[in-house]
Amino acid sequence: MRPTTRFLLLCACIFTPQFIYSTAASAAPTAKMMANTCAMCHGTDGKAMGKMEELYGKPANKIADELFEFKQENKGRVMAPLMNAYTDEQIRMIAKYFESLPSKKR
Amino acid sequence: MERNFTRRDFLSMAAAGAAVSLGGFGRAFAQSTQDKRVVVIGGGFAGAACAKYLRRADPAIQVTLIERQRNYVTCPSSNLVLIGQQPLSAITLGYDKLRLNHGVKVVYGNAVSIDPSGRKVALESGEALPYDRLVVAPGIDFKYAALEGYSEQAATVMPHAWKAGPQTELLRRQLEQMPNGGTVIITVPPAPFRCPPGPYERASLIAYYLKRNKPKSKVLILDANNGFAVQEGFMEAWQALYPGMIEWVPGSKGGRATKVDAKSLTVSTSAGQHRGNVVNVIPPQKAGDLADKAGLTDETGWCPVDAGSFESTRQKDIHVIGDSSIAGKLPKSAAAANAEAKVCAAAIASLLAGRTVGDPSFINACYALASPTYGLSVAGVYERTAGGIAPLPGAFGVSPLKESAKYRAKEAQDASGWYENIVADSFT
Repeated sequence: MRPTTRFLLLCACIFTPQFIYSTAASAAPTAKMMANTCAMCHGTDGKAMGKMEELYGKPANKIADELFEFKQENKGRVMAPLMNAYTDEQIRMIAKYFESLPSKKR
Repeated sequence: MERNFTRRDFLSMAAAGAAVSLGGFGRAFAQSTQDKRVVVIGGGFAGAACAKYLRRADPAIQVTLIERQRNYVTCPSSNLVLIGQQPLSAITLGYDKLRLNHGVKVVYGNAVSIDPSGRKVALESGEALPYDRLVVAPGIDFKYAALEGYSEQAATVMPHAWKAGPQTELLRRQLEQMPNGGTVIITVPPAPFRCPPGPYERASLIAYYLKRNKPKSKVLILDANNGFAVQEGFMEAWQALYPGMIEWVPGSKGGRATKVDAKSLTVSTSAGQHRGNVVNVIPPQKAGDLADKAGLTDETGWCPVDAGSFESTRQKDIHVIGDSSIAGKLPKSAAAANAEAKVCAAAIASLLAGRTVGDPSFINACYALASPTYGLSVAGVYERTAGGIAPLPGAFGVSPLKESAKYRAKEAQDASGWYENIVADSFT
């Protein structure tokens, strides 16, 4: 490998978090880390029991819209303070995570 | 933490022009988790959820859960059993689903000692279980010596019912047998203790039962503390639902129990003696005995841990989660235990694979019932801070005051939904 190529690859490595996922210290919790905290009330992977809202496999837009509503309109009982914790970007990350879960197995 | 490889390390290596090929780099630092062993001691909300989420994080890791009993009775919802609203069987769980659904190996036995340097757990049976990382989740034990007159023996007369099971049924029978016009005393220990709103939910639900069955009776709370969780919400509910039935004596007004006597059913405080027909002594608490024996506790009686991984600051390769740990501002609740378990599981999976531990995120969401149809809540998102773990600004809330009956009923319904889901998320 030529030195320049090696240098460029190293740069790519440093500036592409996905590529060095195994070693980079993230500045914020991952989508999975945040989504797993929802499971306490909404079931593992968002597969809810009983009357709690199901999140598993729902369209990300639908989840995010509801979460924004809790946040902006101070609604949803405990959901209002909880949603205050997250940036809009984090709310979208959580919503996308639940949408992206494999749909085969319950 | 020398196994961690941080971005800073990487940058400094890159800056130093370390001439490693990328392939070689990957091989040098990524570790296989094949045949790595994690042992979890204690199958409460913390231990069970941690075992499950470890297997979900990395199925190559072998996870063994050590638990003394085949059945676990949850403390959440046990106050409804106390007043006959549901049977004990409704809050009794087993461990089969952790095994069947997630491949957790469950060993029923008593862990008697830990060898941190040899990385082994000794069971009472003589068996020794080796580990690469150990999770200790023994819950609470009682500081009997901190309350004169209280002991395991005295608890058969003045039940604590602060570990659910036979104690819950004993207290229920006593409530059923007490005369109309009698007094139920609940003593509350100095904080921290398991389930901060628990004693006040218990007082509420006992008042609910008494109002319907023995309406001349009273509940007297003798509290070592000067305030309590969701205090305004409870006070509002007591005024509305049970006027004059519940008296709360704070520590500053002589509420702190200094001595109890099982023969005469009396509680002594600095302000005098109180006699009850039923005396529920919630004793002073500390981390589970095993944590003490393993050198995991500090002078407070609880276990200091790193807020990102829950690794003990006292013993290497040992993590402490749930009520035993000092988790900053997170309370000793099933909800916090469940949240800590997931953070710990993710951290251990990363550490065993040679990856850096990511940032943690926690939710604590607790419900308490002022009556079976009147719910109160406290909820927050917590993060790691310089001082430990604390709720994010603006992301902490308690039930609002002056709400409608419909709102309270909805929160009671949320409480039952919470219970169903946290149990499933932790044990199945």
